[in-house]
Amino acid sequence: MSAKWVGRAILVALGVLFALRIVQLRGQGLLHVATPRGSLAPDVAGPLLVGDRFRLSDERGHPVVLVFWAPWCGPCRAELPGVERVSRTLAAAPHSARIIAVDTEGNRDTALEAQAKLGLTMPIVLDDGSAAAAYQVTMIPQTVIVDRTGRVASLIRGSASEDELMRAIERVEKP
Amino acid sequence: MRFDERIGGVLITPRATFARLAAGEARPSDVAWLVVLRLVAGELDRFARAIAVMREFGVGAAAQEVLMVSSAVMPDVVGILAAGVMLQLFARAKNAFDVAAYTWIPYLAVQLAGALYFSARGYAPSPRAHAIVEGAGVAWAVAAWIVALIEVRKLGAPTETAT
Repeated sequence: MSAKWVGRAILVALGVLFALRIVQLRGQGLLHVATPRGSLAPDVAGPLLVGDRFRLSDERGHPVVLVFWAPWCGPCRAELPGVERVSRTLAAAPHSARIIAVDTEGNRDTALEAQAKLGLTMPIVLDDGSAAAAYQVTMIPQTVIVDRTGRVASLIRGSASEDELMRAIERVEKP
Repeated sequence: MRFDERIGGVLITPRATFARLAAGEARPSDVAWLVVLRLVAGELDRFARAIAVMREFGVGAAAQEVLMVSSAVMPDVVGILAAGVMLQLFARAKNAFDVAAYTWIPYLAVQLAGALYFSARGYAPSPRAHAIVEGAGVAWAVAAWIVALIEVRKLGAPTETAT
């Protein structure tokens, strides 16, 4: 076998890999975001860190803010105190929205530790991976705002400031 | 030597090829192109995801996604740079850096074979399989680097003796 043909084989292999990836992409439906604005939000169900269970489909009638995070995620830990303050603001009238922190790690011990350290009082759902998969959460923190009809109203990738989060929530709260 | 001969030669006739590369036939752009092709072919799903993200979240989020994808070849780039620095230190040849970049090609060949195998089988490699592929690639690249060092030094030796 000559060097020329081995070199060409490397280039062909790169081309084949490219083609295989395209076939897989089409099969996995990764060419679009699973939860675009206006689409029906996939249900999120799981045990709460404190309390019983949470189910997004039971929350129709008021907006719900899903904040995907994990205790090991530095940017999440930096963002959460601000989210907590927004959550406390939302507890008072005339607000109706509710913030739910979705722990993508799903480990009760690490979640409890983070909750205590960050002083979180907002509900925390332990996700077994199904919610993160349904919302294609490839990076955290990620925030999804679901309106009162259960449709995706807003998506924020990465950290959101308190002002940014509050503005997005108020837009959804308006009738 | 043409592009495909330089790439293939490193794999099947390393001594002769590195001798010619050290003699001035190395092209820095060869490996740069291969790194780009490897990134595009290997991480296509994540690039497609970046396009989808751009539609929904805007250019800023897509740029963040592309940066994350690009970091997939960072270990390769760091390895190429380290190989270049080491060869420069040990051989002190003018084009040692360019020659050293070619020692990444065996690693690429093993990675490609592994990626094709697992893509064709339709499942992700287990951590053990991943470690075996990585280990084989690194071992072959190190062997190629040693051959490159010998050939570059050989080429430099008469000049050093003469001076």
